[in-house]
Amino acid sequence: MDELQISVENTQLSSSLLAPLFSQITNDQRLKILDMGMALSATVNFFGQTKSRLQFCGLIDSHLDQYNDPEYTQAERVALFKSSLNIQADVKFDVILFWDIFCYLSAPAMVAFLEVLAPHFHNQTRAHCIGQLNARQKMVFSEYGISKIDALYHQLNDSQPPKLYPHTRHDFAKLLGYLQVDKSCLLSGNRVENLLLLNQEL
Amino acid sequence: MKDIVAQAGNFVRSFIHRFGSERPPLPTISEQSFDIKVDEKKQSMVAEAVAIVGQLNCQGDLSIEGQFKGSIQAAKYTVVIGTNGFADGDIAANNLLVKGKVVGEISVADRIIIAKTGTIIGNLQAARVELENGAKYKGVIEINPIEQAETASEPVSENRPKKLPPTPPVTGTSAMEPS
Repeated sequence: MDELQISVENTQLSSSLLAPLFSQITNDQRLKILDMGMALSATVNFFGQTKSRLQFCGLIDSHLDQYNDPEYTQAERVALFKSSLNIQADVKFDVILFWDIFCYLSAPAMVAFLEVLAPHFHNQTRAHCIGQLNARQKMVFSEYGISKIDALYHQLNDSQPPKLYPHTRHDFAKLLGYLQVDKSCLLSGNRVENLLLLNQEL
Repeated sequence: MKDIVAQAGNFVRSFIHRFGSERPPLPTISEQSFDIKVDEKKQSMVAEAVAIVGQLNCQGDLSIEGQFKGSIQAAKYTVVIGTNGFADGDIAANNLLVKGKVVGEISVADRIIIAKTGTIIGNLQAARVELENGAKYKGVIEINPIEQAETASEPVSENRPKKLPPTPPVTGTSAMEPS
């Protein structure tokens, strides 16, 4: 186990979907990024020379389990996400970095989560998420960042991992609602990365 | 009368002992590893055992090793929050180095560094933001890089968004890239 942990600490994951994630960005706009994790040095340094607005929600930690509590009504869950995300009402994001948050959200929690985020999408909003490739295999609880345009940075998340909620591909596509998977690529460590675009059919 | 004189003498001796030349110098923070210069001759310090509530208007650099609640105005100067320091409130500074904890709105004209032991919860504006590996940050960062002479805006290439660096620089003293 120790050997496994050492091997997954602070590594880069080669990514094919970061480049298309930023391909709609023009030089003159202030880039608005929403990151569901805590800020990592890699991500901040990556955007360090860019006129940008980076919002780090710090949502992916052991407290994530609370959103899945079946005692909550859907309205309560929405209110809880709204309060945790704390997004300014008029902000619309160009890029959303979900990382692996969907792996730790139950179906009702995922619906509530995306309902809170939907007003902050615009027509060109793009998003990136990481999923579990095989639900029967273990996925290490990690923190992610952007190392360079073709590489993700990841390190072990030292907090208690929340419960995993595997979604089938079909269910996941339905739960995404306002978003749809445009491309998927395999990553190491039982992961798959997805590029998400706005669902034009809705 | 003799008692009063004796008491006064004792008070003066105790005052000299605490604040006079025999007193060990106040600890100062060396920021060489962070490339942030602190004017140690002019810096003020909230020491480790001190808790202050109020507003600080600084006319020099400031180090906080203790607890401070309120606003800090040091627009032309450097503010350092030491490893055990805690600042709860808004901070305006020219440079800011956080090794301890800050909760509040932060506006920095030039550069902010969050060291590996540092935590900030709150929104911040700065020209340059650097996090050491291990630093904790939650909130909104507005990055306003100092403008450089540029040609007219061009569309972004397919492979790499313009202005985004190909590799992030390593900051502070600890390397963050894997070997």
